[in-house]
Amino acid sequence: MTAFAYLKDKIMVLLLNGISLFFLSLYLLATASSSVTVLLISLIWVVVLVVYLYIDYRGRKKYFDQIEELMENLDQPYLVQEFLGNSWRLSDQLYKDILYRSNKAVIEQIYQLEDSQKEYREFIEGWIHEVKLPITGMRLASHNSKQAEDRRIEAYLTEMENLVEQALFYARSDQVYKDYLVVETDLKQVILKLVGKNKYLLIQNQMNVLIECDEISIMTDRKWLEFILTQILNNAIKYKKSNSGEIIFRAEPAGNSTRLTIRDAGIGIPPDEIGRIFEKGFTGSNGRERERSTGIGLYLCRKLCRKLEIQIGAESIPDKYTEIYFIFPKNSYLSKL
Amino acid sequence: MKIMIVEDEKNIREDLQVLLESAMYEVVAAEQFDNISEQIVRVQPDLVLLDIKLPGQNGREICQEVRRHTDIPIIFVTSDDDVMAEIKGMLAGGDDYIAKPYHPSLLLARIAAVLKRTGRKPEEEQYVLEHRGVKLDIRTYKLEYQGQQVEVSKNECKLLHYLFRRQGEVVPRLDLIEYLWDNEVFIDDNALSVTVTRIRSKLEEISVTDFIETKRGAGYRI
Repeated sequence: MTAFAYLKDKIMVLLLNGISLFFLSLYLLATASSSVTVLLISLIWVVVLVVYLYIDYRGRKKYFDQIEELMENLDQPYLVQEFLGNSWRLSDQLYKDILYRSNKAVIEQIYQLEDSQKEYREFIEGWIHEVKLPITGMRLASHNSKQAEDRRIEAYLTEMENLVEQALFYARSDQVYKDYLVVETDLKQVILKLVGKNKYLLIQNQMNVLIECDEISIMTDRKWLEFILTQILNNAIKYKKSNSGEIIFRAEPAGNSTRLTIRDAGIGIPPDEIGRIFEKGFTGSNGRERERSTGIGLYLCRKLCRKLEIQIGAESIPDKYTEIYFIFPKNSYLSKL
Repeated sequence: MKIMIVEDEKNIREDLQVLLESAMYEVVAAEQFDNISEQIVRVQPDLVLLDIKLPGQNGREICQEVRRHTDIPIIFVTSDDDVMAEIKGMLAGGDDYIAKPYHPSLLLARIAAVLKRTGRKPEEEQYVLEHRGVKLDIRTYKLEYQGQQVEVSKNECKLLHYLFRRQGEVVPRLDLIEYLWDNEVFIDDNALSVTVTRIRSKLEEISVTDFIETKRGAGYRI
């Protein structure tokens, strides 16, 4: 609140006083008072008015400055009404009451939305657990039948399972804090498990895999990391060149952290698009050409990496390779405790 | 080896039974789910595959009850794959934990591993294999023929190991690739041909020719 804005607000008071003073002076002069008396009375009037306005201005300014400060310090600024001091002014009291009622309505609305969102998420999670059952059944049935299409069905099922997992992690990604356990993890074991899980899909797509990662352990959550790496692996398969495919996992210590790079010999990403690949819904020219991209995989990767405090980035030369790198801090969670 | 299946989903139970039977296990499947722990103790299997979500009772509780009587290996099977569920399963006394949807071959591998770890399956591995006078030693990665020796790489050794174990059979290329993938060699079709060519030239060094036969469009045979 500036002094000028305050005065502008008080324009009616100033006008009223000015007009009153003017007519009083006229009356006094008409009733033969000396001009000195009139001047003196006017002076006193103005001084009293200025002092009144100054005190009022100080009071108002203090009141609103306090509210501003509250707003800045509160985690949830919409709760400011709860912390407003009592004021003797009627308008302040009325506004406080209005704020209270409007806040209440908004908060109710938020609760409702949260409830329905929670319900929805629970449904999705439940559904995903249900759908795993028929996938398991199909796996067993196709394995038992020993048909020639067995392996192709396996590859499709792996793809389907990966998509289902993606939905599960998307539903859960806003509440990672509830469901993760950071433990010392052998990076190679995670990669081996990942490759094993996607064996049929990789063989079907004629991919070679190379793992250069010896006895490197990191502090992270295994399931989340496995999910993140699955997304990268799927992209490497999706955007491979038609005649050959290769994925190289390489882990090495880098200063106080561990760096994992996953390089494929795929079609690569154009330079003007590489900055946006982690954005939600970004599909890029590659994704559009193949019409199978949702723009969710890498977005989830970055989101989860942030929560797990892993750095993620990408480099690529079109038609040569794409390289995704992760930097795992050493014991960042332990040092925080 | 007797394996007991505790799975309430009928279709999966039946497919699982077929899978385990074709892997030469004797299978007992629970049909009633009200006194599972008693059934397990009565049947005395060598291993139990226990679903966590069962009608009425929770798999973990069953496991705890069973543990009071016997230390039969128990593998939990569940579609709930978060870390806490896994830890709870282990705390209840489970020996392993596998999440649906699992690969059948992975399940079989886990079962074999648990049986081996709990000392129920004495697995004797043959270190030196022989075919037509050629000896393969899988500990030292060496091929020997009439006193001549040549070293092979780890990958080549794994490939040869599989061919030696299926002597006389035409081994399909995909079977070979899948076996190699299960043993941490992740190569594709082209790389397989390259590896076989390399093995052939090494065999020639010790004067063995025409040892690995190529069956066009099918696979290899020794």
